[in-house]
Amino acid sequence: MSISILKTTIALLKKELIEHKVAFIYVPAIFIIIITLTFLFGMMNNGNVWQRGAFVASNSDARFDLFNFTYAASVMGWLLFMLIMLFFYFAASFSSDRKDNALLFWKSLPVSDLQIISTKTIAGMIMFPIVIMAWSIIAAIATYIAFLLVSINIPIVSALNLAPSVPTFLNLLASMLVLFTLTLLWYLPLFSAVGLLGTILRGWAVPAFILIMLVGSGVEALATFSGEGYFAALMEQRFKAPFIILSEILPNMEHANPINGLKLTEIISIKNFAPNFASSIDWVGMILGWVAAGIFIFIASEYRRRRIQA
Amino acid sequence: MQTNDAIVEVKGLVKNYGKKQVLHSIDFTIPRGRIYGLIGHNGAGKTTAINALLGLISYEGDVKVLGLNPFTNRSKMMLDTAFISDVASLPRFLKVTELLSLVEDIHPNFNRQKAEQILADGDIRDNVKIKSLSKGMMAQLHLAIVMAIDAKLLVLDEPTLGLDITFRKKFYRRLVEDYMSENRSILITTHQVDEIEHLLTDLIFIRDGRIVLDANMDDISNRYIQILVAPEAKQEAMAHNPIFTTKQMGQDIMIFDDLEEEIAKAFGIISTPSISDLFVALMEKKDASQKAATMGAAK
Repeated sequence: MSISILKTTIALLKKELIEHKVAFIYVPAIFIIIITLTFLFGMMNNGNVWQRGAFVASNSDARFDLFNFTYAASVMGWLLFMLIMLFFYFAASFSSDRKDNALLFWKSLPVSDLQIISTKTIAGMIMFPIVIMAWSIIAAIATYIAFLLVSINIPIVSALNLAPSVPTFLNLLASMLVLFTLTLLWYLPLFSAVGLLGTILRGWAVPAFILIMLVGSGVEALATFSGEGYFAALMEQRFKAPFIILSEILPNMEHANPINGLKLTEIISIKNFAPNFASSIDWVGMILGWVAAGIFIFIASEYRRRRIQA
Repeated sequence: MQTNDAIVEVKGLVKNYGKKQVLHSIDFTIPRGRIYGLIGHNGAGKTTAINALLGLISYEGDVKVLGLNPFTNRSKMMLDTAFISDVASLPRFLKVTELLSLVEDIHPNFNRQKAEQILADGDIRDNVKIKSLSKGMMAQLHLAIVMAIDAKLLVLDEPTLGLDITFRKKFYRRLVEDYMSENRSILITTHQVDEIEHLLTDLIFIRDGRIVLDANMDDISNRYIQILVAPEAKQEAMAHNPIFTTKQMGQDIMIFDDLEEEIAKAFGIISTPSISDLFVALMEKKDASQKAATMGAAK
């Protein structure tokens, strides 16, 4: 990649960040503030229920890493948040340059439509996920601070190990990175498909996407007289695969809670998690998905190249 | 004119929208160091021609801008081409300073300092959101950006739409004094033709997707003569087939194509027709010829 292409890409990424700061900066910030304040309020008023577990304080083996546990517990929430936000980002962003009649301004710059659409894809696949991961860490720190404040009045909390364990955190972060990356790559064809629809249909992209799924499955069901046709199975796998894999490789997750003191490192270890997750992925389906995504992105850029009006 | 001096070369440009042909095999060349006015009625095909030059639409025919096919090499061509479209607006979610930074990072030939100098003449502050600017201020900002791009071809499609007369005059003065050079060419379309008349070196009239005039201003002033005809010379002047006649304050005004100056002087006071008068004359002349053709066919 030449320096000028890199410089242009960075400039366009900055533009995407500014344009979509509400979804990826303000909304998570407001979300974290609301959750943290609600938690603090709840603990201050109803924290006495935690007194029941006070005996844990006397048993040092039962202590666990509160910071990393909080972070781990929030990962699935952040993953879902990220996938939903990115779905809507892709639905809107491929056509967002047409807003305010500004399309011809963007076309007056020495950047190809393919580069612009590719940069939007990079923003959705790399930049915004990094932003959301950063927010997830900030959320864990905010929760940790909230626990510290609460510990003034509630002994059980102070009995827990409040000092963050750096190796555990790095381990967890690496596992989260693997989970997020492979999940995003798995969903790339769906994101680019809704992006292509957005390029053509603008605000109707999401309803059109849902309609295509429903009509596709419906037509297939009519043709086969069953709900188990190829398209329906393909879509079901595409939508659920990462979560099915997670539920299969993390059988002990349901037992991890502050009371039984199950060590987080036993549940999520990058050494175990990464190969288990990667080996459970349908890599042929993954690569075919990338090919489909490439085709969708190219068609979207060619459609954009031929548009001159908002 | 050598071909390699041409910034723009158009040969047999055809554009169809469905079954409707909007451009009928038009040809023109824009050499280096010229300011071209592309004039036509609404729907004449000006913007379509410009969009083809800028690679914004597909077309048939041979178009070269700076030696490149604009449709297949648009992003490369835009390194040395700048344009403002009549319908273009700026991204409203950015601040002025963010927009300048963005263009600076993307466009290697953009001079931010120059843009800021141009903006310093107006009331636009750096840290305001573009959406808070008035329509005129937004046009000023857009013009400042375009003029700060070191381009070989500048295409202005109704550039001063929404601007007040003071800024329009200031803009055109700056365009000639600061921007124009022998290495650059400018193509302007506007309905306010009288404002750009003094800038132009060449003129193209387009009507119904066909070029009806493509000439430099010297040739136009040599070729077309406007006469304020003396009442007693009216019949004799009419015998020389004026391409246009009208009345102003009760006096006959006629425009002639290729009438010798010595003959013209005998009919009254001669002058060079303004672009707007010539435009009306040539448009009406075409009407007349079409009418004649239709009448001939009916017979």
